[in-house]
Amino acid sequence: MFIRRRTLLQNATVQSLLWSAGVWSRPAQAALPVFESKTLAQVVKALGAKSLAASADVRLSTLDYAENGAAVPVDIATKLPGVERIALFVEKNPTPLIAVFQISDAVDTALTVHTKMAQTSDVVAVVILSDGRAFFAKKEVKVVLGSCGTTSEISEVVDSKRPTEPTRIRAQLQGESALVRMRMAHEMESGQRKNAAGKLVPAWHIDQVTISLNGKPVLSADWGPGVSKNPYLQLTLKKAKPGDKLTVVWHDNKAVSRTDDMLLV
Amino acid sequence: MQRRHFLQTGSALGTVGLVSACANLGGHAPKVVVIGGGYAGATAAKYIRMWSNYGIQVSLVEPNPSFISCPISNLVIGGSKTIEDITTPYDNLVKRHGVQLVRDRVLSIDSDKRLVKLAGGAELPYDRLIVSPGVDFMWETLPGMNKPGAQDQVLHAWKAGAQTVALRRQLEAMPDGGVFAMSIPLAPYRCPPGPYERACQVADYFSKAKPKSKVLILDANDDVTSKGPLFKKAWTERYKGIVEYRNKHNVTDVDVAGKTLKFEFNDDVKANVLNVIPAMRAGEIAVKSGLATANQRWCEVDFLTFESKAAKNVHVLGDSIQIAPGMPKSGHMANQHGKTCAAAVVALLSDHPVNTLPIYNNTCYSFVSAQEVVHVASVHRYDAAQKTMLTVPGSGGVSAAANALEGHYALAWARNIWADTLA
Repeated sequence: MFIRRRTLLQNATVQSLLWSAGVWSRPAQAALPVFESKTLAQVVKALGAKSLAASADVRLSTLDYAENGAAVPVDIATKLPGVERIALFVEKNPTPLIAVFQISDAVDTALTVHTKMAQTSDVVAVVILSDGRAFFAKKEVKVVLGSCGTTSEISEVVDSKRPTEPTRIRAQLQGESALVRMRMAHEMESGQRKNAAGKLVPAWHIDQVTISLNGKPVLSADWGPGVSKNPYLQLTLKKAKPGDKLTVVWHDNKAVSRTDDMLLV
Repeated sequence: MQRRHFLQTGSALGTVGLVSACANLGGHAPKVVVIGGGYAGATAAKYIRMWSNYGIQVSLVEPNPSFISCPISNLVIGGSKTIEDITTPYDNLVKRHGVQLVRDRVLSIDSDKRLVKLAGGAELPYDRLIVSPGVDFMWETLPGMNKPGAQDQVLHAWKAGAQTVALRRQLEAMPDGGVFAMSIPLAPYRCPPGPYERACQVADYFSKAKPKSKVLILDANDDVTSKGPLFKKAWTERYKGIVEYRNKHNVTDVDVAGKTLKFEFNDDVKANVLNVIPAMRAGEIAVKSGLATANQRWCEVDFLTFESKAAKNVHVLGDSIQIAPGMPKSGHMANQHGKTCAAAVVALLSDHPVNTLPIYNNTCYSFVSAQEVVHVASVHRYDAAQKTMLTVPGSGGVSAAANALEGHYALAWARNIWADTLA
């Protein structure tokens, strides 16, 4: 199973086969090695890209200032052809790689995801093409920690047996395409925070997501602990019509998984 | 320090102070125009006059006839105060301090010619301009609120005044057993604890007059953004069965006729009285003058002078600015901005060094009932390395529990800051 996940990241050509095999259950496992990368160069190398360059064809839009680092919305889009993967990297986070998305032809190369930010940092969007070239865009986001007695309560309940809550999915048909937004219900505990007694709260986060249209995977993602609590994801299906079934599956690092679906109207 | 420098120079030039000093040097007294007479602008206007020994001319452009305080205004909604209790005229700024009050609205700022153009047609030249227009609402995020009449039916009451009174009337007219639903935007917004205090005030009124009624709080944020444990304690104990708090409820539209709130992900909510606090940005004049460079919403400033990072000789104060870490958008903080900026403007206009270590505080009281109060306080100091204001470690704090003594402190705080700003 672990090997299969590595393969998924390393070899995009077998990706669709793996998707159709379905990754519906698997044991808990360690984080993918790519999430241990500390630099952008390491990430890109681990993802198998042969070159890396800044490009105006990668559009990254996010805040100039974030009120807090808990959930910073990041839009990544590109018109470059042959995009296989989109990665999000926050340079000064303890785990800088936030997410790697494998993109199929069925979705636009435009995503929105909410990331945690530990401090003011460059945020980097990377797209990797099928020919092995990687391009990036970056922008500094200043993190301003909130105001007037902000309190953050750390949940210490790490009970992988407790029932999961549904992923809330909203889809809006726009002609032939559909804008899809979703919010998964998950603590996304980073493993970096300490509780009141000074002990580290263990990491507990979604590490894989698969989105399918009528049973066929259209996008999958590997996530580290840097995706925001109650993860938000927005994507666009290129072709969708009323009656199509959209399925969202997530797995976390404690072997919990959840499947939700909706019919497009 | 500032003041001492200033006074010493005044006496060095003679015994006449800055008034004649400036008149002698420049041929005319320096002119400052202040846009907006709220906690920041009114304070800046008064203190520039005082600290220049009445040598700098100050015009305050404000469309409203008097100052109505946002702090304490939730008590008008709760019914224990009236709008008159929170209203102060601008008379003393004019009579005691010689501020020229201009009852008008600003149309545009020409920062090259250093001119402010007013809706009434007049033009005011300035040497330094202070822009303190507060917040405006991002109505474009709520399509249904842009329909004719919508904003008269579904109120924000987030600028104290007519809407404060109108929301109180809606609550009085609501039948017992009804639901009051209030939506809170994602931070940052004016007065972080304000919505939660309002929920308490409405619940206090319901518990006395309409005990079968409910207060539903629909918060776009992950959690209560300020004084969380204290407010939650009030809702689960004092207002048990009346208040319900729901987080992660981001309003995306309002069906005004159907009295229904629509959310990004959650189910619709219908209520008898809707109170929508929309997302906010810097006041319109700041945005259209190109001063709101942070997220196209807030104005970046140099925290030593409050001078805009986008326009020379233009200062921005109060809720319009991009805050520093730990700095709330509050009335008290706006008052502190006003004084810090006043000292800097007086120094700049008299060729004196600007204070390099501003330090000031914030105090914020919230009424959890008509009498009992909780507070949060903090001290903020300039950090030269990071060029921003930072909270002083170990300073300030939060109430252990709601108590009536702090209710007296809170009302005394209000009287004092109104006097400091306006008297």
